[in-house]
Amino acid sequence: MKPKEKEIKKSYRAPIGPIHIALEEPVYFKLDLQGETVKGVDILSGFVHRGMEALVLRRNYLQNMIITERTCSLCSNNHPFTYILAVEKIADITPPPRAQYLRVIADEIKRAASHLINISLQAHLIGFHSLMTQTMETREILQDIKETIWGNRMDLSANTIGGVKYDLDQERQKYLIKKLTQIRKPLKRVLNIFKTNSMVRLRTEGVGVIPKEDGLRLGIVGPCARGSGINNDIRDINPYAAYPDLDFEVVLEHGCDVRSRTLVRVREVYQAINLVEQCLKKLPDGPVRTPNLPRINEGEGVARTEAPRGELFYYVKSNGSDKPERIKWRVPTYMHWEALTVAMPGNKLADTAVIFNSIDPCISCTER
Amino acid sequence: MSGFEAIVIYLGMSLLVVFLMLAASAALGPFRPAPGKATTYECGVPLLDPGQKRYDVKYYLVAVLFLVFDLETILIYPLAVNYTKFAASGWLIFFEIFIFVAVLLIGLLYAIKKRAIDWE
Amino acid sequence: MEDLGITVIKVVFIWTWVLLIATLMTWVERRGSAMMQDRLGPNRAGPFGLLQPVADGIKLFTKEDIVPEKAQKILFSLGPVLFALPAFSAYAVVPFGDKLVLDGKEIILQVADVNIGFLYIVALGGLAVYGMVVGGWGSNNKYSILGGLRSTAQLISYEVPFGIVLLAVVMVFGTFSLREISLAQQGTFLGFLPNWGVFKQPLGFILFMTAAYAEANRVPFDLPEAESEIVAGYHTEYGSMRLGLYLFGEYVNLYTLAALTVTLFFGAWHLPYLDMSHFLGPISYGIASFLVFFLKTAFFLWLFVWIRWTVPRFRYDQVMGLGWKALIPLSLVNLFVTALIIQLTV
Repeated sequence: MKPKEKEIKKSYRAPIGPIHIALEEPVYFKLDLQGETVKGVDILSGFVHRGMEALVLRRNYLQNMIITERTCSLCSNNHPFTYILAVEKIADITPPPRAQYLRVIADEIKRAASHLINISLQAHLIGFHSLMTQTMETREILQDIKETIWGNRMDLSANTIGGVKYDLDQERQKYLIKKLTQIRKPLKRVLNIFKTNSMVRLRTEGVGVIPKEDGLRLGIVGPCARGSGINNDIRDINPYAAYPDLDFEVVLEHGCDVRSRTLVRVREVYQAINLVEQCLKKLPDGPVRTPNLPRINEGEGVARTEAPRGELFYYVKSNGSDKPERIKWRVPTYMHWEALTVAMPGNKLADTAVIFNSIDPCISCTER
Repeated sequence: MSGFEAIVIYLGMSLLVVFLMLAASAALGPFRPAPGKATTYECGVPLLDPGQKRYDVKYYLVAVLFLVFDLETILIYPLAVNYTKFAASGWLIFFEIFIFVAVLLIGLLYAIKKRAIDWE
Repeated sequence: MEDLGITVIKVVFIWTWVLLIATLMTWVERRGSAMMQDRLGPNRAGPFGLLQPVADGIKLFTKEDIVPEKAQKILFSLGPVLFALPAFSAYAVVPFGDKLVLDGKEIILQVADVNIGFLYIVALGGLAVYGMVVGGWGSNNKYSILGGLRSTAQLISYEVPFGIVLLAVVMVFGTFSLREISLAQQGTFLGFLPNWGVFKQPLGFILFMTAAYAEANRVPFDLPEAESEIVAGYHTEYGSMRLGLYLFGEYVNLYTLAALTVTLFFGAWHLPYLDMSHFLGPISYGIASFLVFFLKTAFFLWLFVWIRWTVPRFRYDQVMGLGWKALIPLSLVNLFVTALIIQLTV
């Protein structure tokens, strides 16, 4: 009892959040600090709760595609996508093959954009503002693609039950290929800085370590898990849409630290571009959605996809009416919060923001 | 002792301008107190701890080390400024400086070895 | 001994000049960073946004002066003054040109050519710490106090290598007077190099620049105000002109440090291989020396901006490690080698 009391006296508590420059979304950390070292972390949340899981029960299946899309901006493609996959399982709909490929294209473009925003924020947090703006500038090409093809810079609204809402004609395919070739050069220039710059390495190497065992215990997903050497890529272990036909290798890094998570994201940006190009090559002809949608029967459906942040899981229960009886979703950040209590203690105060960013937090997904 | 009166004028000028700036700011700015305005900024939540409390001893340690090193640096200054003259007359001052620097270095190595500068 | 009138004119001139350039630096920094980041930067106030600093100044003057209720009023008010005073006054001993001959009277382009100019600069540089720590502690805010403590530890840590490097420079030139050091850099060194300090103290120059960046709280050493950790560091709670004094003080410090770099290492107002006094009239020579000195200073000011936007920030323990484990031993070695070379060549 005695020594512990002393320990507490020596440390002091400082908050980061809910309103803090380093945070993109409101979340509240209570840090126990000893000098500059973080001894413990307490996470409080609930600042952006919007009652989404209740809202979706009041709308019909088609409206829910829109509302799930509004859960979060960066994985706004994956939320309706996974929801649609679950609904399609209940209603036993198989989208046409062309739609499967178009779904992957939308998914991968969003993934690349999301990863780029995350690593650019990392550059911002380590005080490298020019790198941040340059990365964002590169990402702007992806935004142009989104705006041209889907008509919106964030919410693509690409998927619908039984297919997709858009089609790529010859002109758009050409445009997409042109833009993807155009992005490669600036992307390489920017991402090489993340890979090789010694001062970036100095700030990210050995920081925020989540060992493989802890990662497995806490069930971390997505680039975080892959940065700790855990293959948790749903596209690989439980493929959906057109992923079984595509040729890609799961990106794995074994450093377990912030740097390897960044490297995973960097490599996945390239991978996403490759996948889109593959899709365009293999794109089959045919309709983009099932013509006659059946009524959604009573039943339950579960689907999971690989969102930019990791595994996204949707459970949909239908009672035969036009509104779902229950929709529950689990987002990747949820597991990563717990991982923060492993990753943060022992690191410097300066690194807390970097570590928090490295799990690619999405508070609005998590609190919905 | 030439030039010091200029420094005094310069200091006076700085002092004058600093106070003019503060006075102008006080005179020109509005004064509309509100309860929320004067609270301590702590990310918008109630204060966890008082701000002024005991902080890590490491900062103090650095200050002590600084005192030692800076004092010793100041002690070499008179030697350094006349060094060329001393050097012409032999190696004595060189060795004196050498021993001085060596003692400093050993002290520094000791401090590093004692992990006085590591922030673990 | 000059008469008082000329001294006062010089003081007012250089004081205003330094402040003007420091104000302009905020514009250069914002436009420069915008250039590096594919942005436009401030371009609304005046041509190219040149009046932006004026607009900023007006804004700072007309903001409400808020004192937090938990703050210690006296310390809180004292902080910015303590920071700005040494920063504004440090330029007094740094030259800004050679000399101007007017009506047969020789005017030295330096406010005070004192025989301990060096120590004056080092002393005032050290005093800046008080402004930060007093302001940080007086704010009674965790981020401010942490920022204040950090800046104290960082500044005094880099004060030591700064001092030791200057020792080696003093050894080479044999004087504390910055004007004498400037004058000594005329001609050539080893027959082909300009007789500049940087060629006599190459390692010293690198160490000096590193320490200077840390002293000026610039990236990569801007930890006292690392925004992703401690919001704005020691000036988190400040607003209106009190904040303005902190920010201004930093830019004035930059100007002083850049001018000091030019004086010690880059031949002050001397052009390489060229003696301007031979072919220029007394007045035009004075102006030319001022311009040459200023252009060199401007380059180093630009270097400050350039480096700020091209490197990330160090972590706190890395900064302290670099200071104590690399810079201090290296500066001691530099001192020793300098002493040895002088001993061998005398």
